[in-house]
Amino acid sequence: MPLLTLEHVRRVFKENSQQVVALKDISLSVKAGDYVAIMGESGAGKTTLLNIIATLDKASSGTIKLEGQNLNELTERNAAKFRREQLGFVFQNFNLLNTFNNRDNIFLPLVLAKKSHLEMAKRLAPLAAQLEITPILDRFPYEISGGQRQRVAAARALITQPQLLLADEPTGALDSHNAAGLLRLFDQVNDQGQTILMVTHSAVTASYSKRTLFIKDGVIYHELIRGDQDKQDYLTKITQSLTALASEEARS
Amino acid sequence: MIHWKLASHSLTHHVRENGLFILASSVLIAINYIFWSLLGNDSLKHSVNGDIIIKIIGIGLMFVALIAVIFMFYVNSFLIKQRNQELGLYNMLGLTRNDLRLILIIENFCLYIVSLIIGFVLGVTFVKLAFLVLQRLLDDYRIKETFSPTALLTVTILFGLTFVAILIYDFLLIRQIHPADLWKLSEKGEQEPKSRWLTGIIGVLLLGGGYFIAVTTKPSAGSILRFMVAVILVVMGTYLVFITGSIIFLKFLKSKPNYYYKPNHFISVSGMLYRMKQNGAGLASICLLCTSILVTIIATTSLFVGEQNLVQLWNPYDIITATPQPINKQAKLATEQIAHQSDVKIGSRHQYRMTTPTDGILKDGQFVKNESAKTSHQLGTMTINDYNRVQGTQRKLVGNHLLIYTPDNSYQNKWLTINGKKYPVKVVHHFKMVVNYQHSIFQPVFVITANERLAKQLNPAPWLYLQGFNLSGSNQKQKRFSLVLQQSLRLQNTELSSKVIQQALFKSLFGGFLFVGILISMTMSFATALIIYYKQVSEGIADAKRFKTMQQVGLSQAESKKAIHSQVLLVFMLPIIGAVIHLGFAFPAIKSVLTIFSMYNLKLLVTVSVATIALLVACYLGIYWLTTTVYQRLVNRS
Repeated sequence: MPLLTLEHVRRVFKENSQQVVALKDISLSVKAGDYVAIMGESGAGKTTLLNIIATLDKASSGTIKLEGQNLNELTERNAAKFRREQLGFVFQNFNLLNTFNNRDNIFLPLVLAKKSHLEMAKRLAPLAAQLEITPILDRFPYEISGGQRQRVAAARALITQPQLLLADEPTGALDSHNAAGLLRLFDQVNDQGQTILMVTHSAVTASYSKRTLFIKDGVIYHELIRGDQDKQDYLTKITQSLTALASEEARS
Repeated sequence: MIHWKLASHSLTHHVRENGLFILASSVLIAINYIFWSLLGNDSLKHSVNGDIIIKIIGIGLMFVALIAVIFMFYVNSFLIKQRNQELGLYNMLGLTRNDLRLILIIENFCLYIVSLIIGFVLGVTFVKLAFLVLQRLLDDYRIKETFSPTALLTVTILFGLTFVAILIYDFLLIRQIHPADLWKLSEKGEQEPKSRWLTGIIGVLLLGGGYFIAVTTKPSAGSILRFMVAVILVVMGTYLVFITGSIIFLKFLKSKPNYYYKPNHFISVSGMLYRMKQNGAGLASICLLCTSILVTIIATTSLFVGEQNLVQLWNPYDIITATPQPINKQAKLATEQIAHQSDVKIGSRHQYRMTTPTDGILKDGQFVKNESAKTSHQLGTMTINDYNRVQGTQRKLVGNHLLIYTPDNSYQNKWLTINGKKYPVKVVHHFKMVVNYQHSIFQPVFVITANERLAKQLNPAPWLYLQGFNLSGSNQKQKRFSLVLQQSLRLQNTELSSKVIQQALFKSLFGGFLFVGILISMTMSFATALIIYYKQVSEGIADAKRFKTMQQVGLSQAESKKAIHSQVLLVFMLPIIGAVIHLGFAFPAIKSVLTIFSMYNLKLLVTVSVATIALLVACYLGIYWLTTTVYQRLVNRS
């Protein structure tokens, strides 16, 4: 049974009495341990899709299920609880809070879940070691580099041991060196069984995934599966698909 | 012209910021206008005791003008924040600093004109109300409000100067605009404040010192300076304690994992710690403003409410004479005659004799002669026979046994030492004919002896003959009677005291105090409300992003509401708690100042204080509730 399933998901925004269709008809399923990248141009509906899966937004119609739980039916309070227990988030601009030091930023979801301080410390130690952020835990987000910030943000996402890790352009604000470091980390946790769903428009970033979905005008237009290919071939295929997509757009 | 366009764009597109600025400045203009037109009002000046009221209003005006100037700068600082970003953008798009200055001149001029117009409309409207209140308080309906061009002009100039000063200040800030900063603005994180133990300790010491002086200083002519020192120490101490003490306290909370890592505490402690640096000063200001409001209202209301008591205390009968010779037959006859002419009837006469009071200090069962800034009492003696006659009692005294009476009923010792000799003494709680010799600010002490010899021995001073009687007739007639009587018997001002005149004096004095006190308190309350509002808005804007991130990570709306409440309530209760503590230490001082006006009614003072605190807390919570709504709207906007 898949971990996450979307069936005929549609999202319509009303803007000044005009209807804007962000998602037309999306169906997809993600198995546990999968690593999915979603690609598309700006405005294709990537972020809307991610927000709906993250329970930050609701679909106009269709069903979204995570482990059999229908996300569209969650109340606001339960959605918050669901986010903090089942999901981990990594954002493009990190979204770390300057009022907390890095350690407390990572602890935030655990504090909200009312875990004991001892438990928090126990969970952080191995994670911080793996992410190589142990020495900067007592510093503040504005005192460290972008790459370090994104690793702190990743630690915050992973410390709850979420069912699903959601990443929104995680490498968008990083240089190539730091981006590669973060993606190697994603590979590592995926190898350990962590399911990852990532939105990006960087082909290189997508090439780390096991599966790439292409979204255009609110529908899934194309899908690529890495299988046994090496990363370079996979990247070539992704770039080819993007070019095909773009040239088709230019023709129409 | 581009400058006009940009200025009007900035004025019309930031309605909230500019609207608040105009609200603040026009209310301040209105209040200043009211004070100036009161000050220049002829009917008020020529009313009974008008000169006293004008003096009180003058002092109030100084205070209000000072608040106005300080506050204009405070409110302006919030305008600057929004403006500087815009001006930086214009600068980047190619406008020179001179262009920016011109835009600022146009903007400030428009704000000035609009504030003046609204302020004067408010002022002219509310000055009518002010006069109605004043008429009632002073019980004098001949005081009439007149339109005052002088007041208009004075306020126009005063605020014109303030606006020019603000403009110059803005110009200085323009020199620091670097367009490149615009990019960095959002990324810059502010350093978490450090615990500064030394300043914190100095703050506590200053506060303690101020408290100590306030509590230990006794009221007398020389104590004003000491009180001023106490006030200055408390003000400085409050700022230091709020700024550094709060940080130390929050850091302490943060260092306790079992307390800190709870959802509510986690969010509020870190949030408050992060902005205490800017907020400490704001909270201290709120605290001090609340304290001043409390002290002003309590003191003036107690005086006003206690006026009847006081008149009764000073004038147990409608007319009291205190003369070095007994009233002779001739004088009595003259009195009858004048009464007849003035169309008033004289009631029965009450008389007694006491030794002319001696100034000194009554403390710890001992009276010491003293004529200095420390003097607090005046002691006179009389015989038991005189006492019994006045009181209608049959008490007996033997040997060197004494009775003692003080109007505040504070004497509790069983002995009284006077001139180095110790006498057994009993306290009496009532005396019908208390007089305040020469209307002095010292508390009278009456000592009753078994015989004349002992009376003279305790207080070797000439006899003073006291006489009191009631009158019936209109206030006007009673007043005329007492004036004619004083003249024809050739009595000094201190030798004759008329209840009607006394009442009129207290009415103007305390009515004037209360009136000015209310106006000043209203000004301060308005200032406090504005500070609170600005704090909430600026914090709401700062917190909006923070709460959005926390909601993404799994904070529900209900939980964020709870967190907001616990954070805001904690921040907001601090100043009011501080104000009540300040008041507690100021209480003895207020009490002593009131005794200068012979106000010994502690129960009244406590009642007024409790009522005032309750009222202030209610208003405060009202403002808090209103502004929290604004805050929540800002936080949940995203």
